[in-house]
Amino acid sequence: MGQRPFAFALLMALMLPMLPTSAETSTFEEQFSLEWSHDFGDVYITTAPLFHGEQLFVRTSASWGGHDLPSIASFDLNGELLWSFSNSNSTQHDMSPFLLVKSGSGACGVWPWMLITGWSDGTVEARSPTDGRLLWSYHSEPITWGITGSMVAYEDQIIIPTRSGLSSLCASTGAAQWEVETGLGWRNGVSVGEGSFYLGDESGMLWAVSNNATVRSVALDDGKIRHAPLLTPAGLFVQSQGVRSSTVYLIDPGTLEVKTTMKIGGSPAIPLGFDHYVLSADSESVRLYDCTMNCTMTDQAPFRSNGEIAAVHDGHYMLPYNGDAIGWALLELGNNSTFELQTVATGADGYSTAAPAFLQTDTRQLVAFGSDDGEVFVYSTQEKAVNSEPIPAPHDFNWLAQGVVFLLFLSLGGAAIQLLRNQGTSVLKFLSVYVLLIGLLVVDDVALQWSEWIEDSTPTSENKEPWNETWDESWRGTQVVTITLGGEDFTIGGFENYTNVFELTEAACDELDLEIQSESTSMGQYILAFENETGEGWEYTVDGRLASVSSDLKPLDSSSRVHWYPVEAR
Amino acid sequence: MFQALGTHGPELSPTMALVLDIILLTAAFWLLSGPNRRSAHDVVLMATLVVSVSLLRVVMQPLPNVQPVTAACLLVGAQLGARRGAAFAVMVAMLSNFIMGDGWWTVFQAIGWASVAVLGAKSGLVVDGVYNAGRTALAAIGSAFLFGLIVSFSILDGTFGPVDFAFYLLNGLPFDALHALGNVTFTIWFGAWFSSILAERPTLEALEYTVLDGHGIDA
Repeated sequence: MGQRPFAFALLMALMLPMLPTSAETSTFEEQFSLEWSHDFGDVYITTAPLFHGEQLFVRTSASWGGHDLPSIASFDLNGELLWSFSNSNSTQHDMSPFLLVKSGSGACGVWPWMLITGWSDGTVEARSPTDGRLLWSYHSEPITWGITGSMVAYEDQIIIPTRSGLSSLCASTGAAQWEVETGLGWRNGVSVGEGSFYLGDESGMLWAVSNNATVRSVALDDGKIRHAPLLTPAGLFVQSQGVRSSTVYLIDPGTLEVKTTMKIGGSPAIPLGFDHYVLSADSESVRLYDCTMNCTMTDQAPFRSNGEIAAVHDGHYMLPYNGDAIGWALLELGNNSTFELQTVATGADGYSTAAPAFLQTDTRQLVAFGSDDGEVFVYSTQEKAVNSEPIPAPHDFNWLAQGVVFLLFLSLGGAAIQLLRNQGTSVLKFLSVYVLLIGLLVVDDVALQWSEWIEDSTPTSENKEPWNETWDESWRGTQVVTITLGGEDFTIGGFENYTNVFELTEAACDELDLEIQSESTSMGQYILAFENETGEGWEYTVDGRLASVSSDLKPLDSSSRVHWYPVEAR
Repeated sequence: MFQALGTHGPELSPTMALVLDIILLTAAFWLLSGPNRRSAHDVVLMATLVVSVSLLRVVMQPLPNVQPVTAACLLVGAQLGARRGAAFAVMVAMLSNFIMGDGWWTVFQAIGWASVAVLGAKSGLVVDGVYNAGRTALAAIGSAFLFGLIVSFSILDGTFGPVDFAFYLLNGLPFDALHALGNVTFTIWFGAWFSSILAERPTLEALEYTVLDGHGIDA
């Protein structure tokens, strides 16, 4: 009878691999459907729409070569236009996000709910969200551009980053309370914390302006600071945009001393802070930082996004892909400061930089996406009846997963019963099925880990990819990519700091103006085609050695030479 | 290699593919032909086995590298001998690839499974009509790696160096291990049964001769 506890313990131990199968989540497409859309014409939408109450606000921007005027508009949740106003004086890109200000009172007066809009002609307008009525306006001097960064409400002030400085306006009247000169800025939003307002400029200067208009600054480098510095528990998180790559600075908000720096990809997005995390992106990757003590990157995934990021439904985050229609990244944060990335097609896909807007009502969830083509798309979950029995959500039954789980239980149960009957051969029969099923479930991951281990264990070879004398001498010692296409070699070099082949190849294709097509598989990113040429498949070598893992898993050093070619050209 | 999934050596022209098919068929017939005349029962048994195992392979295609054909070849080789086992392997490779996709790799699969059949014939899996399950399980494990090695040669097209090929083989080990696991499962569950249906059974006529040989002369 001593076999029974043993059989029970064995059964419990072997059942552990089955537990995660119940943790499946539904996709965006399963949850949301397109409710309505509105085309604004020949304009861009470059900043996030905004939900408030039963309204959606959208702002558009003038576009290159377009004739339609930039405007702000309000819709009800069914897509009916409530009001709109255009600005014929604003002819540059309008990307300053809406600022919604609650009603309140202060030393300079009383103000109602206000929708504040900054324009590229230097104007700041406060309008009533209800009917769009103009409450006050303020005009700052434009130098090519006017206001392009995010504003902030602080006590009874509206703090605005003008083109050349920072201004404090009375929330009640729009009258200037103080103005200070900083540097020329672009998309340089302002943030508030530790008794100061922080902003950067196009010369890599970080500015701290106290509420009595005292100015301090620190020169970071010659990059461009194009976002509102983020105040995190570890310090100020600032990205400085260089020519090909950028740098993250962690700065003491009190002394403005640099605590840490990190290299990242080019054209960083506007980072988003939440809890003790920062989520950001650039032309290479989406990156998650844990800023509890000292901002450290905890996860990243290849994705090109250079605009805004927003929180959406169920604690997820979304950001647009700045390129051909890959769609939007939907990030689900997991344990251990990691995230899962899936892409979602919305209709507003391709070269977008505006974050989505999200609204949770009593009965449904809405997400609005603004496209680079000047169209807004509003998605919604199915409306739930209020005060009625909850309707069980339709469950997409995964027959395969459930079937495998059933077989796992069956094989284990069978093994346990045979063990109690002292039927050794039968125990082996059932256990062999169990082990085979587990093998089938894990073989992809094991193969991936195994390949990575082989890669890591292989001593770095001498650089076997010969130096081509026609290459630019300045590429020596840097990362170089060659793509053999139609029998011709396309080569570009001078890259640094790319950590894997996929990121480097994407950057190279950017420079070479070559289209790259890839798909995400369970074993990593698979390159399908360059310039739509699929051939019999594509292979790559790193320093002359044929790689055996997907390009996003193949690490590089600072002088690696990567060569892509179609299999038939091997 | 990951970036070359779906490519297995050179692409064949239709004519070359036809030539290879003819060579494989000829090999199968040569292996089946022999001094002993086959009974109708043998022919039907072989045809049924080839068709059913081929179909089984097609049905189990979604499971990566679970190949019941390998275990079947091992047992056919053990019971019917190396020649008939190899012929069985060639015909199954041809027939199943006719459905799943024919090409340069068919030759290597046929050789791989034929080698497994020879291994089955030479490993003493059935001695004096007694099936040895333990030895069969070990042979099933070994045959997975043997088959994996032989099929991997299909990737060699003159541009692969020995080091690259070694890396290719190393990278395939997890899938070979899964293949071995599938083989063991198949032999544990069906090995004895499959072996018994393949066992040579004397006909009534042969039994009569045996009886007469033993006792009739004195009668």
